Amino acid sequence: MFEAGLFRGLFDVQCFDLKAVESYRRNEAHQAMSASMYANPHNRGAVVNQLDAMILGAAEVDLDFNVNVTTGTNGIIMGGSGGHADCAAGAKLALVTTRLSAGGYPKVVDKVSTVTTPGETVDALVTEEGVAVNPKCAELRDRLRSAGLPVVMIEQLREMAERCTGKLERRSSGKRVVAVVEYRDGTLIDIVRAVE
Amino acid sequence: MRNAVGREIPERIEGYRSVKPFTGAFDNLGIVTKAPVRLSSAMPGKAKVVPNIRAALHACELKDGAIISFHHHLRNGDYVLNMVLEEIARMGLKDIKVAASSLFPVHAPVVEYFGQEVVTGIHTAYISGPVADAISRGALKLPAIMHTHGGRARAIESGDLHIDVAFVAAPTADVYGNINGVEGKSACGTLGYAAVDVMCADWVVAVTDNLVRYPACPIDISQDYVDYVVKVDSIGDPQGIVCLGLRGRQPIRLASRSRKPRRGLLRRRASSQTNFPSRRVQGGIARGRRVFEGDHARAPHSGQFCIGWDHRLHRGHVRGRSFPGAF
Repeated sequence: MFEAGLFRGLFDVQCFDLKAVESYRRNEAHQAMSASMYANPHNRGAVVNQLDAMILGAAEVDLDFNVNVTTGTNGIIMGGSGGHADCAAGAKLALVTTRLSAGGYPKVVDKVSTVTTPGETVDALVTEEGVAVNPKCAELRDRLRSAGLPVVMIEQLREMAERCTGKLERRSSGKRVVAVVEYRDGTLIDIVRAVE
Repeated sequence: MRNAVGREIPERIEGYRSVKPFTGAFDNLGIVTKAPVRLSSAMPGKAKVVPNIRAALHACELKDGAIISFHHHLRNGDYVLNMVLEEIARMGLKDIKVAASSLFPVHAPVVEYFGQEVVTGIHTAYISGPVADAISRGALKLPAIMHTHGGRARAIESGDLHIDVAFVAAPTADVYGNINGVEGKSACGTLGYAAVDVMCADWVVAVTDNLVRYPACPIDISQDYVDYVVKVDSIGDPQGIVCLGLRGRQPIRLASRSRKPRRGLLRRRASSQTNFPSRRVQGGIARGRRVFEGDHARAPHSGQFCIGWDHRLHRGHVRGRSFPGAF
């Protein structure tokens, strides 16, 4: 797409496949950026601040639009933010897309097992059954409605998810803190406890 | 104490610095300071090439308790982290903290070093595979510190995360430490994660399987940041950087009644503010490849956007559950 002229420029902290490696080698407008230029909240302006739109995934989303991409439903670590929280904070429009359920577990839940990305930086949740808009984005909600999109309350999505899978029962976790989840500014957004 | 997203956070966490609770996404921006960098200047005539990893570890005066860093540009094809830790274990060093920008299933051997307390701490933005499972079971002595990619850069630059020795898997390096990611059999492209580490670490070691004459061209990381160069047989398998699972994903589609309007989601929002190219943004498990296809994609548009990529693809262990993320 880049070589077809769809984009004027391309930034990569890293390349995700060998074609991207080749493109970086060949194209001047395919530029490298450091992790700091990409997403460091404390520098003089990161690339994430220039994003008009960011499409993000989720393992779980809760009623406050908090997103978990750190632990699975069973509480076991299976990922982490990467740039998730950085891009959500920087982008003008941060969309989280997910199915309502996966593997027999609901993905829209009361409380996520671990908060990776705070709901205040997420604008809308897009699922196959409708779009829920963060209450802080009233203007976005109205625009989507007038565009004829199925805007629903996030509670409705949670109910639909639970109807498919049954209510989520979390395993009790141990006492010991096995991981701390730092937000991009270094403050603690959550902790992960040992799995029993 | 309860933080701004309603999570109960202990006042003190054993093995972690003093707890600062999250208070809001943009609370701590403003005037900041960067930590000074300590480095060892090179005398004219210094030879940077050392015969092996062990020699580099000696040259960097690696001690018990040190923090060493790695980047994940070779992703699930990386050999360098395991290679360095194997040597560290052989030397009998203990209590090492590993600051790796991400950890993948290929790094499974690290788990063995948890038990022996060769490795007692992990700093990372992403972990999948056996290392993640072991940490969740409590196998690591200190709590793992999980940050964001931007948070890692901030921590390193501010001095919150002080790196004693940074190891850079270098697809090409010359004899005086100039590095690029685009030449050599293990070419992995840009080296943006390593770039932060080399600017702030006390010592920097380039580990390469393509040692070339001075000067390498192009240069992604320059000689003034690199102390030593080690030649090894292979730094990794570049095929391992490819995310296989992405191909098999089904896009999420809104229920049929809403297919057409959904295409307007971004367009409407975008029309006044961003002019975002909206056609066929399928979203779903955020994925890049099929987002802009077909003739519509060629219509003139402008805007900046970003698509999250799924790391969680090197993972037989997750039993096929979809688990999307970003970068």
